[in-house]
Amino acid sequence: MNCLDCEKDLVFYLYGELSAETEEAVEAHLDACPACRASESRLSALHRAVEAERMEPSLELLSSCRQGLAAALRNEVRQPAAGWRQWFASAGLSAWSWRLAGCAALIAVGFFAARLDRSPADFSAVHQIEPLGNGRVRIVLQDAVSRELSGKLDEQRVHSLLLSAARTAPDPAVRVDSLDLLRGRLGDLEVRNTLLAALRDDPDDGVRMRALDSLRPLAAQSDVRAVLLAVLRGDRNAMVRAHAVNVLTHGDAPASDLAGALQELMQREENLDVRREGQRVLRSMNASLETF
Amino acid sequence: MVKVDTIALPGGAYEFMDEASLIRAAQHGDQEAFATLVRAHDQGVLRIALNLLRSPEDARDVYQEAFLRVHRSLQHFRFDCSFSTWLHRIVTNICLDHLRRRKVRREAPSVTVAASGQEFDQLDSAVELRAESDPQRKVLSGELRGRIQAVLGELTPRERLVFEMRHFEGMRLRAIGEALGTSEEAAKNCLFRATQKMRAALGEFV
Repeated sequence: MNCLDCEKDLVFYLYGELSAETEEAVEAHLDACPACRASESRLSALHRAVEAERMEPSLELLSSCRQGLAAALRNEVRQPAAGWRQWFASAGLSAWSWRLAGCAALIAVGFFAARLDRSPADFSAVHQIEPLGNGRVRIVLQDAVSRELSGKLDEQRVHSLLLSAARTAPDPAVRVDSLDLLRGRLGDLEVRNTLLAALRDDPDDGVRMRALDSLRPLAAQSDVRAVLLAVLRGDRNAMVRAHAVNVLTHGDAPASDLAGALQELMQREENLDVRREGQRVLRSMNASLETF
Repeated sequence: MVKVDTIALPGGAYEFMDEASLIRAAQHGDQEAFATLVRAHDQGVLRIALNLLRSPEDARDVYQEAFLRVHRSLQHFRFDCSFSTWLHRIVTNICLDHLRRRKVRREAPSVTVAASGQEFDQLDSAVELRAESDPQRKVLSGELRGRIQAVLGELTPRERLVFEMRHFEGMRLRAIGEALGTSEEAAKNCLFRATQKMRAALGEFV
């Protein structure tokens, strides 16, 4: 491979998009050519500068988008009612039939809207249905009533609610708020387990990221470390994986398990950020970048 | 003292359903299944829109339009590609429209002047998670950052989309091609052109 070919392939070499054969040829040329090596360093620096511009949406923005979507979907569901009226008119149904159908449609819309708009705690569950004859029905609803309470963080009822919210609140912003308030009590076994559960199982990337950050002081403990390594190997979000590399190197954390996990990761990780973070740590440990 | 807002009951079995079952349930009108699908994918959608458009307001518009389109056309989803690819196709089309309109208007969306006359950056409502942990970020000059944004703005909408999907989403060329409804080769050419433009414009900085 000459410098011209190398220059042509360099872009896709850094993107990891070359065939294994071409990649090896580029690497061999880079090892032998200081000018192309310098060019590769400049392009890598450019990639890092561009990727530092990446923005992550805040949970507040996400939350407001979700609310906006719920409101827009309510309108979507309501609008077809005009079409139903037209359809009934063209079908020649009587005014009485149309009104009945309209009532049914409105009830359906009401239930739809309620399901979209409310959290499960606010949702009225149908407890019992009883036909009354003459086209009427009796429905018993069971409401969950919203309440508000205030208290100090160390009060048991507040503490329990925060633990519950961190695990089960449907809104990820509420789960993050709960984790933030709990992270000051890492010595509490329940708090620790809640953070580990959030990191392992929460479906929201932002919540897992916050749990990961909160667990940093415990990174040397074996059970925490096991979860961190599992996240490094299997979390679906690249930023979480990259951050897990960082947390795993915190303080006096043992490095022996990390080198093997990172070398294994290097074999299959496709995300550039995670690869770079892994390579940085492996280099700092004087470990080889991959297992052979 | 702390006020606890919105403590709610568990979300139910939907979180544990596989995606195909959620899609089928949503196709049959199950709104909770649809909401679960949205929650599984909406952060990614918002991130693509926010990075491409650099405006939380525009990103919010794209988010809403994308999921409304999904809601309207989910009946026609036939599982001939992954849901994520289909969703990406919808989102990228909407983003491309926004970028094309912006090219025509030549607008500069980020800085807004408040009623008080004070300027503020709309991007303050976005969190850049890596900012604190990346020392390199701290030393990057404002000039370089401004230049990167300027070059991104000068790319064609399609080049910008491909470039950002690669750099900000870490997507492979094959996936980018699928999301754009084009070939891997076409996505590759687009990425190459975008990278060369960046190199030419930022060569003096790196």
